[in-house]
Amino acid sequence: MAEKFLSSAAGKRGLMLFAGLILSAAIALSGKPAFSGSGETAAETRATPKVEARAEKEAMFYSKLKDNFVRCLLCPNKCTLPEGSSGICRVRKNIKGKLYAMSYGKPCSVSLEPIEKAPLYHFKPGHKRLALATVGCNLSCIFCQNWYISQKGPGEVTEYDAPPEQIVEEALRQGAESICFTFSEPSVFYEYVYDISRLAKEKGLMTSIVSNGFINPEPLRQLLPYLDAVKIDLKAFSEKFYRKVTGGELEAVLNTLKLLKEENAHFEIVNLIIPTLNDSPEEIAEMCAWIKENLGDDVPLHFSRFSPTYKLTTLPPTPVRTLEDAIKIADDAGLKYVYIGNVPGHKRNSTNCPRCGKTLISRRGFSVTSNNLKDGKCKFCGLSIPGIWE
Amino acid sequence: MRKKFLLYAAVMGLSGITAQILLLRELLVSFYGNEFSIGIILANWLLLEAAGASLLGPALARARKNFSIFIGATILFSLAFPFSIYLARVFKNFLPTVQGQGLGISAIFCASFLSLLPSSLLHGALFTSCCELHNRGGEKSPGVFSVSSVYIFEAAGTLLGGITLSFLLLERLNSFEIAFLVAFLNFAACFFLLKGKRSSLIPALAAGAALFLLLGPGAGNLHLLTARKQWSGHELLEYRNTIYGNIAVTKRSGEYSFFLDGSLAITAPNPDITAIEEFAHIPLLSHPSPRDILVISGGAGGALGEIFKHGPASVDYAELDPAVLELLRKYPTELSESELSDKRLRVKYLDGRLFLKKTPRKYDVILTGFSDPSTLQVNRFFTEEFFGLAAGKLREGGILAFRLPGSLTYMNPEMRDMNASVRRALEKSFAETALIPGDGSHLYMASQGKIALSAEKMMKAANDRSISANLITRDYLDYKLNGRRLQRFEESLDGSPAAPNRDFRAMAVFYSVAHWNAMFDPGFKKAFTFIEKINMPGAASAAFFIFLLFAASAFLRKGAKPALFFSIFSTGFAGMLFDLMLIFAFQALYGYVFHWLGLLVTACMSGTVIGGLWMKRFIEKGGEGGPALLKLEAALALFALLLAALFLNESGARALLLPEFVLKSVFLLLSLASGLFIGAEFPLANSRYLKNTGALGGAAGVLYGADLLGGWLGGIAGALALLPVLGLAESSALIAFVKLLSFALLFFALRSRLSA
Repeated sequence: MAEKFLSSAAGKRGLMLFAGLILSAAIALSGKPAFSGSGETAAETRATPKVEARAEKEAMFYSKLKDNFVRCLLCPNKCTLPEGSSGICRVRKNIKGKLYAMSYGKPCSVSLEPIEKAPLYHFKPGHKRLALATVGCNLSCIFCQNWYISQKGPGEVTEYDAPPEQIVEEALRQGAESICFTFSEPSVFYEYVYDISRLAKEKGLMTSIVSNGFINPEPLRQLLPYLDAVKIDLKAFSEKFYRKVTGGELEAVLNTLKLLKEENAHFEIVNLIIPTLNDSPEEIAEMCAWIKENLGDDVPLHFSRFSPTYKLTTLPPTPVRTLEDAIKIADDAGLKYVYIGNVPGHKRNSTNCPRCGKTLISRRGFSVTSNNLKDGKCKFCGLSIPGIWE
Repeated sequence: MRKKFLLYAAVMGLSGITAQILLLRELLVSFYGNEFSIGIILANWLLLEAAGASLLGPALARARKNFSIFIGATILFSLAFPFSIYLARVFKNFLPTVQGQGLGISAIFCASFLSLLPSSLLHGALFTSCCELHNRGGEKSPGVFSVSSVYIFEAAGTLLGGITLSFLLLERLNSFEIAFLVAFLNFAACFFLLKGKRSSLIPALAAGAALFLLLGPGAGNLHLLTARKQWSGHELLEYRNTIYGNIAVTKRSGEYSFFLDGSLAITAPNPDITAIEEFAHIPLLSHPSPRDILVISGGAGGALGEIFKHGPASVDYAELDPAVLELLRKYPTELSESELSDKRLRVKYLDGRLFLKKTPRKYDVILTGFSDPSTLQVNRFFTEEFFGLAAGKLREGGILAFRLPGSLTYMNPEMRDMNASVRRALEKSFAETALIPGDGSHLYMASQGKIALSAEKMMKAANDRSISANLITRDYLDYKLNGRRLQRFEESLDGSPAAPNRDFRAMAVFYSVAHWNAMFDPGFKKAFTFIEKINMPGAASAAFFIFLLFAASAFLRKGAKPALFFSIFSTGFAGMLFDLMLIFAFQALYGYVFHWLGLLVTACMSGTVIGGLWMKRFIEKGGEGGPALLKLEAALALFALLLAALFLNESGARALLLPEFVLKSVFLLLSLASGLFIGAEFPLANSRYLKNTGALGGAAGVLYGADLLGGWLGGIAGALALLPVLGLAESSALIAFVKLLSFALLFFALRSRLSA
């Protein structure tokens, strides 16, 4: 009976339809991660170097396992990689039993930016930084502003050849006072950051990093002596959010923050408030309490306004009132330097003295319009303000 | 009895078109207005109808108590329709995505497939079982009339349904109310079929229930409940269908958000300050004295307010849908109140391009506020033809400005190609163009005279005009106009292979869809790269290959069946493509005017009816199906060639010189003609098919399926690949080629039969 049905025209069509259904379901459920290996698009016109030619820089934090496997020890993902495969970040690859940093010396974005845009508000206000990035990231936030480079691998974007010396020269040539590793995720191009930072310090440039904080303690500890300022994205205060929306872990980021405090680094925190996902007052209060207890009350904290981007295409922007409520919660928790981000013209773009209340640094958007600090102290009442001012 | 079936067929036609259009609109909102999804939704609808018609229908007809099952299936369909609406609205809650997260092709495909399944599968089945039962009602009549008559009545019902829905119902009733109305009509038709029997009580009761739900609070509650699920976490204030689309207004913590077709358009009272200020101030500061300004869409919600700071003499604002401003006034904020009540503002409720064409005025600055040419409707503001029009309405030294998606950090290939395509279109009409990169969007300015990108000059102008804005400082302007960065972006555009964007060849839409795809389904990226390279020889070869498969089958089987299948299939394909082409072209010339689209569909359906009736007469008089079919195929090929000639790019500009009513009549005639061909071919082919097989329900189903499958392919391939990338003229030529092939195949297949 079944054979007769299947051999008929209708049966065949039915079979095709069924197959189509299965196929569609398979596609939908496969949840293919964003990266699907290297795939040069035909539209790329600039030649990118062959993969083998990148295998020059051996990675700094990994261990060799048997059968030519390696385990990368840079970030909490701790990818165990068989020969020929790359980690979740896409830029660290096992070639013949050794781990290589594949994006070393191959930045895809280099530009001169104001430091306020990082945002780093307590780091020599008003100066220009040379911002750079390579491809790759160890997370996959669905609201990533720089997904075109963070969710890609080597060879999938246009890259430049730029060894560390060239970057430092470029920074000096363009009149930048610091070099900033940002846009994608600097932790994953660790070796590049490390070499550039050491060189930069020799040449009198400052350095900073804008990171998701998803890095292991030891690599961070070794890098810190060469970094002047760090900006960490504390994306939410819930493991559920981190898992579902970014693919990471809250715990690891909190550990990073504690380590930064321990090592006396200058760091600032940004919390991007996304409506319905991480904007509950309870969560924000918990976060502020944790910061106060573990990091102190003088860590600059920025509450940033979300705008639809990448996969979160139609969620409305954060209501300004929500941001202001968050600021109030942080103020009440005793945090001293709380800012609003992505709302140009708001009074909380400026820095006020926590003691006498006077405006220390007034900002309009990214422009610094006045600076009332003298030797790192409030000009009016003498309070020492944390930060790097010279 | 037979006549009752015909009445039923009409109701079925009405149900089908209503379900199709309504579910299309619902899914479009759920997919955030993604136009590519239209092709997928239509295609899936057709596929499921085909499945229902060729699989379920014959099974139903052959079952023992088929009449009762038939009634039961009708009742099931009437329930399935509102269920489909429900699914279309709430499916996102079952996905692992979060609220506000966009969807990729596979998600759209599966979601539309599953939402449409209950309704379209059943609807398809009802057609074939209706044919069968209609035939049984009168044993003396040959089967062929049965199918054609049902088809014709169904088409008439479709016609009536389409008009009523578009002109009357959509604006006045919500989706559930319409669904219950359709249910009521279906139950009433069943009642008439069963009249006199005891079992007629069931449909009578069901009809009563449907009426109760329709007139009572049931439909209204369902509507609000399901609408709210789409915006959980936000308060849904409005959810309205206008003749232009769907508008939703939500509120959270004092912030209002306005969505058009599911896509975010305005935020008040705190807009994206950077976007608004850059868009308004940079172009106006680049002009020494902007007195008369035109804003085409995207003005309300902050930009207008910033523009007024420059002290213009007049600001004309063209916004297509009056409901947008009406709702802004209904939920007033300080932002919208002040800008909308300014005396210098003159609002025109008209499509911006149409307004520009008609106005005798000239402007100092023209701003178009669309941010992404992702739909055909919006693409019309980013084409050579539009830029030529705008250039003619600018005074000396006047500036045109608009935005395109972009990023300061990096320019990925899809974005780069979209930007390049539009830029090259811009350069055809303007001597000087400038690109100012930005976060989220790039700003373009164009003028016949030199555009001085000088931070110093702009700051001076800002001070002279006493403009206080959040972003505009000397520091900021220096950063924004950094020469090195500008140059780097200019250079990156040079490497793009993109062709200039045109009305009848919407490359920007293609790249926009490719860009969206790169975000959500990067696995399909290779497919898009492939599609981008589609050209005439390639497409023609693919068509030829498919033809060879059918030719081989025909040769092996020594029958006319494969030839008939191919001919109906390719006509279905052609029909869908003609449909899209005419809508596309009409949109390109006139913009989105829903009533006119309804008229075009109506004209097409009328053609189908007339063609069907004509053929029925012809067959009844004993006309030979074979030769008539051949003539029809040849005529279709010629028609396609005619369209190809009409759609050549240059003709667009010439066409607009004709008086409006002449041009619109031409559109109606062309739609009518394309419907005529399709309507005529089905009964002809069917009569021919039956001579070979003898079975009725199965035959009707198979050919119906072929027709619908062809349409499916036309919908998916047409909307995405053929029309944007090949363009209208070449797509038409391709159809002509395919029709010639099917003509040849049919000729040889029938000749061997005739001589036998």
